Amino acid sequence: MKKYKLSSLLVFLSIIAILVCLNYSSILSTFTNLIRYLSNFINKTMRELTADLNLRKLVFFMGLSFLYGIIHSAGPGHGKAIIFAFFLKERHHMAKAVLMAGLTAFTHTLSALILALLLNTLLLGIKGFFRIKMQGYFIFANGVLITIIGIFFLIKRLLAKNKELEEERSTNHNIYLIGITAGLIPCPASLMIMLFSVSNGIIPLGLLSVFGISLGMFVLLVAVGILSIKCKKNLSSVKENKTTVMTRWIEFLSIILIICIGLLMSLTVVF
Amino acid sequence: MRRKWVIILLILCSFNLKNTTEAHPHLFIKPSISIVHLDNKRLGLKVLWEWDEWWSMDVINDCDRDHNGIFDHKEIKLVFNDYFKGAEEFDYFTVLKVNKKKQPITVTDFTARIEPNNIVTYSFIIPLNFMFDHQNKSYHFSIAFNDETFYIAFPDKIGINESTKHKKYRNLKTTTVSYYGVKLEFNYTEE
Repeated sequence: MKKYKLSSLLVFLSIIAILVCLNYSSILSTFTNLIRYLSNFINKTMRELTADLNLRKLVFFMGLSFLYGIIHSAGPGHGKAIIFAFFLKERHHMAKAVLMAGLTAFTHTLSALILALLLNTLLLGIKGFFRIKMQGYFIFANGVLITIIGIFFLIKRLLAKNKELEEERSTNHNIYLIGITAGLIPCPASLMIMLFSVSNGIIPLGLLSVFGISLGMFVLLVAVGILSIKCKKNLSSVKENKTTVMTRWIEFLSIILIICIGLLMSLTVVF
Repeated sequence: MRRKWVIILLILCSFNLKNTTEAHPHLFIKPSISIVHLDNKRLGLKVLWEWDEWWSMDVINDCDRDHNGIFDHKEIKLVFNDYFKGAEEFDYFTVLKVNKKKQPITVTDFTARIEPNNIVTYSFIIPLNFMFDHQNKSYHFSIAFNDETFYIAFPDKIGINESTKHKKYRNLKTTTVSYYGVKLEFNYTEE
């Protein structure tokens, strides 16, 4: 049974890797069309609800937002990559994947809510394409922060002895650090919904939709975290119960991955 | 054996790291074009952008001040200043080449409309920087719409708004650009 589960996991991972490694323009095009369709559908349902509020439609609206949350989070993005790299770096229980996903999804949505509030009060002059530019600044700053955290991990790893490393694994500090940092960029989808709901006086409806989207995002991030933890378990030597050469290499590789993700995020904005 | 598989997968994913960090789009534009004569000797590329529901609602809420569903002259100026001009530094997400020569992107004749389904469309002209040669039967056009910030997607093919007896768009070829962009190539002739 266990063997079967592991084989399924490997097949699933292989499919993901093949999809990621192919120049997947047609897959991406289908994904983009699906996001567009769902996004427009949320918009349409929201307008219908504004005119005629009923429970059935409201539940449907929540479900739609949840689905959108899962699908739009499944697209390319730095959050999943960082969570994946982090759980390869450190050994954690499955429950920590839930904590990490919760932190990332919550921060991603909360920052959008705060920004929507600011754009409707103090930053009224920021409109249209300037909001897109502002998103670029957020990505840049977030990339710098992730790079710094990655370098901090690297220095700590280079200086740490095995015993210290084991102690570090039992703490949650790094989970909070990475979880919050990975979600700092305000979710543009939630931002659009909140801006619309604030300007149309339907804030509770906007909040419900944003909650549904975060929940969808949370579910997907939990799955990414669990996958990564399972990969880590497969790579670590269970029998020897000590840090093997391979485990050390994987830890270094995952720290380098975190640094590269941060650098790429910042450099993409600059160039 | 299992370990080997996982390592191979991780290496494959690392190779494609740039894809992994790209963002996904949140706004969508359906573009269409046509070639127009600005005067006897100069051509221009007329571009039509059909926005998605979210952007449309944002623009309508902010710029349709009299709430009559029509942008008047003053409101179009508002749309231009607050919801279009900012794209100038991104070259209006446009890369245009005629006979393999890159054209500078400047915009004239901007106008915005609210369609009956509450979708906002922008229309503008990009003048071409060469004199139209009536003897030269064919011009090769390459038009790409792409937002490098990955915030806006151009998911559909680029439409052509007109094809009269005199104007011919031949050998049309549509390809994707980067992740969420689109490119149209064709030969343009006038008879």
